[in-house]
Amino acid sequence: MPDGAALGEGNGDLAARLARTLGALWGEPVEVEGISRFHGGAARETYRFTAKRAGGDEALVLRRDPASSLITTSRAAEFHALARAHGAGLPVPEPLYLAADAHEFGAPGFLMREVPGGRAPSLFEEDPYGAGRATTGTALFTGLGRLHALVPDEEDRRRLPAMDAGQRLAHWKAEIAAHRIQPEPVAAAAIRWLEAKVPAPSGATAIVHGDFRSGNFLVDGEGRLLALLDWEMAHLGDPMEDLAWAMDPLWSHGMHGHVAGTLPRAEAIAVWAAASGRRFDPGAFEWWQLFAGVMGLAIWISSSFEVARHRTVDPVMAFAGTYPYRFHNAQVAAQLKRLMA
Amino acid sequence: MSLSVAQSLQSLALAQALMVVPALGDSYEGKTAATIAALLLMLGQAMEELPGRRHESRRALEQLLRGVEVSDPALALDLDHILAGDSDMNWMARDAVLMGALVEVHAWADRHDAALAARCRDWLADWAAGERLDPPRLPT
Repeated sequence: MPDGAALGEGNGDLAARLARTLGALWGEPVEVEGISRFHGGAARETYRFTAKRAGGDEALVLRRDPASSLITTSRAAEFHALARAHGAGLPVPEPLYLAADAHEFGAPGFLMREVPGGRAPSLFEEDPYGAGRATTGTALFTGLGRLHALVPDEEDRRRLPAMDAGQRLAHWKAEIAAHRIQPEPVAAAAIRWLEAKVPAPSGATAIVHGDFRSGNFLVDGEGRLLALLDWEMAHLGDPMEDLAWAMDPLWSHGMHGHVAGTLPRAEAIAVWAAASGRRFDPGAFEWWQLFAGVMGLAIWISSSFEVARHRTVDPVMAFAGTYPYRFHNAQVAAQLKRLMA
Repeated sequence: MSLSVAQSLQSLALAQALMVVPALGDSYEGKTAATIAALLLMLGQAMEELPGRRHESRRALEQLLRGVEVSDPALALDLDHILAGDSDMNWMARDAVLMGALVEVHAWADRHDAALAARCRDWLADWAAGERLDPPRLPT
């Protein structure tokens, strides 16, 4: 659990904590300067800072649990997924150090190197990748395919939760039940349909990113992919989940037919299939598309709960409970009507 | 004449966007202020049309529930009680009661009455589409 007092501390206290940890890690005196918090990513608190050591300055990032969050996840699992992806040569920040309890950073968290120069567009930005959209999309779905091509090893099975389609649905159904502050008739109807039609796995179990979407990767000015971020929902499961979430219209930047504001859908699938060596399963994908909307609803309902209970005043949480919630409620209701027509 | 709630929210959003956000720049605080501005703007836009749509949706839902004939005696009794209404109940509490009834009726209909289930899905799709917010846009 986060240490509430520590989370309310100033940057000076946090700098001292970071300097102590890095000093012990590198075996030399370290000074920490320029701490600033990243906006967004309400699931975690993320800070950038400079660590000054004898050999030169290092630009680093701390991610730690917040006092209140959209979702409850494990920093240890996130750190493992990041390390696994980094080891496989995927474009991700290099993970450096995990503090699994609250002792060092005031809450469980980890350190990684900052990836300089990139940007992640906001939800309402139209055509955010511009002329570089094909470059971005090709790199993005190649990266996703390479992730899904990895064969989970013993360490992956030990560190990451393993959930098949039915278990994923049960997980988010429980989150909705625990956090809903009013009846949720759309989610309830969609869950009934999903429970009745749980698909067989689309292929061998994969490492699933869990939150693969526009906004969770960095690109440079020419649309080149610099880093895949936010691995906190990584798990072992069905890769169709990542495809469905990436292709959800909420993340399309208003560019219908273009996945995440990048490639047309058929091209994105082809790039993914070539890089993963896997087969796209349209039947299972239909289930995972509706699942994606329900997962979104579960996340936004949880954020509404946190705001309504005054556990957070972060406007990102209030936003999540307002715009994306209504977006997914409408999308899921329309999709359900189509599926059962 | 006083400002409407929608006008007040839009004015606050513009003040936030044009006075506070530039002063805070690209910092965490600046982006937080921009998020607040976007929220205020969206809510201001919604206040102009949402109440009317909600009134229509409520009426359609009550009509749907009134026409329901279920063979489950407990559910039928609950519906009679719910539709009789409670004049002391505020709008949100009444909505929650009606939505709770819809969840029960729809679940029953999915098992026993395909035509009623289709009507429930139609209502849900219309209601959810009416509740959806537009992305924030600056007033012209």
